[in-house]
Amino acid sequence: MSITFDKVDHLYGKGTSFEKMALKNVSFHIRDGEFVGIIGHTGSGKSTLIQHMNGLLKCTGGNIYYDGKDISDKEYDRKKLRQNVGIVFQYPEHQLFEATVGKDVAFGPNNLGIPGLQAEVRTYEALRSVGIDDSLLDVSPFDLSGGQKRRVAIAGVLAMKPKVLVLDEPAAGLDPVGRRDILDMIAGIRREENITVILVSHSMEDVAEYVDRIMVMNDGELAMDGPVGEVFAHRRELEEMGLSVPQISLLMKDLEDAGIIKDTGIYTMEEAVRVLSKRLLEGSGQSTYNTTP
Amino acid sequence: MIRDITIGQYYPSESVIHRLDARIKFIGTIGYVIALFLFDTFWGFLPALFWLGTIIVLSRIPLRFIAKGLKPVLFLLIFLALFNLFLTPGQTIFEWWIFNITDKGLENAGFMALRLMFLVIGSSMMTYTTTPSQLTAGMESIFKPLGVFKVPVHEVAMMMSIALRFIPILLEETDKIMKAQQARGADFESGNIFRRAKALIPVLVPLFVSAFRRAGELAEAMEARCYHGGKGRTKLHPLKMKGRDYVGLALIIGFVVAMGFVP
Ligand SMILES: Nc1ncnc2c1ncn2[C@@H]1O[C@H](COP(=O)(O)OP(=O)(O)OP(=O)(O)O)[C@@H](O)[C@H]1O
Ligand SMILES: [Mg+2]
Repeated sequence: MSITFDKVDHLYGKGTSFEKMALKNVSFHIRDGEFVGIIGHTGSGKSTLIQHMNGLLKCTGGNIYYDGKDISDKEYDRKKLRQNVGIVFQYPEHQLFEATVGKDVAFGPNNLGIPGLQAEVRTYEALRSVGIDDSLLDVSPFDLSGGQKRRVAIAGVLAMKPKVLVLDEPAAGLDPVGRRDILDMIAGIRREENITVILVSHSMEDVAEYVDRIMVMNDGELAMDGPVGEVFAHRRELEEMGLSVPQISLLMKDLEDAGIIKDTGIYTMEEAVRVLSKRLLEGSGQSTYNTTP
Repeated sequence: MIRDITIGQYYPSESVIHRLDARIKFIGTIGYVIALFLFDTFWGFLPALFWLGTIIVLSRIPLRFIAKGLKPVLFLLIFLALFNLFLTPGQTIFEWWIFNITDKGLENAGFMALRLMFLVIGSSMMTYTTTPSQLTAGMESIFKPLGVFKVPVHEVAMMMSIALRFIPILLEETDKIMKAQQARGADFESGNIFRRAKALIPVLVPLFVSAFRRAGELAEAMEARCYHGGKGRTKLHPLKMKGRDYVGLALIIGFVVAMGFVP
């Protein structure tokens, strides 16, 4: 499903002293199967933006289209939209409520009216794809660890088999290993299911390695939108918005400025390791620079 | 949406009413509530409306915000009015099937509904214009004499202010959880009353879990800052009566006394 936002505005608390323009004139187009990162400082409107994607919030200005169809149309099937666009909210583990992990994950499919056996199959599949062992199926979700709870909550959305998966800060509050695991898992799901994935984060480091395209939100506006390397080239502007580019891209930029490497726009650790080790091997042969004084 | 519930919330603004000493506002609210029960003809609503209207205008709180505060009690209001409408004996003025409306019933229903509206709006004005911390300080100061009878005044005041402070937080949390469950296909808007009640389980369970978690966290945070009850605790902003507070007090007394003379 392709997503089009056309000059979308959102105003909270209209007519009160809490009035807040949380989205201003946001326009973009996301093609089928893209892997997009949305980054922005706290309060920049990321969560507000994604809640428009499945119709939980209605825009106060502009239009939103899926596959060219306006979702504010009377005839548009919004229930179907909720099914097609799965949103995993910030701290999704706070929404767990059932007595067992299995039942909680089956909540979504049951709401969609999917027959028992099929719902069960989906539950198994979803739990497996988030790496939760079958032995935990009958355990209370409240007895799991933080990271496990989060996986179960994500499985709860996956079990609805969405065509677009939106995740709001899926790695927030986890330790570094947990963060990597969750993000790797999401990338894996995207590869297997071939779905559109939108990853919201305020950490560049997290997003950079995984996504193909970055949208930068700043104070309710879509400030930048483009391929990862292109966005990271605007280091100054990003810093002005309270965002920093990944550490490794700073190092690589310095090395490039010093004339030690020639490659530009490197922002992932793997890429950097590859380039640097190649350079080191070359270096040992020709000794471009001296280590002895 | 659920966040529209404004009862017990603070509405930040710069106004005379906001700056008034919390104790005066508290006494004013009590006086106003008493005054509402001092009359039993419709004439009494005239001075009450004048009093309430003046306070609303002075407080600079938009009418729309105040109207929203009435929404949650609307059900109760209609319920009470209907009861009075159908169950009061008197001269029949309208009859249909088993329904029988009397002149007295109509009068009673209108009177009750109006009084309840005045009560709700009037007492909400207190919380709209007073921050929870001022509110606690005010109540604590007013009820301090009860300490003689071993009433834990400070603790009760603290509990009330925490409860008030948590209303918007819990509403926000409810909103978030509802959205999360809606994203998983939950439907809160259709079906009969039993289905709707059942649909709330996925909201209530996480809500309770998080309320307990928050309560625990708050208790820990308070202890970590050496909170040990009211004994020997000083205030950053001690309440002090100023000129306008005495004027306010005089007006309140004047109002309540005057209402006593309304037929
Ligand atoms: N329900 C609401 N009512 C009123 N204002 C809101 C509401 N939700 C968010 N806001 C305001 O809208 C702005 C954008 O909020 P939003 O939650 O979209 O930010 P965010 O980018 O997701 O931030 P974070 O990184 O902290 O999650 C903020 O200023 C916030 O205070
Ligand atoms: Mg957010």
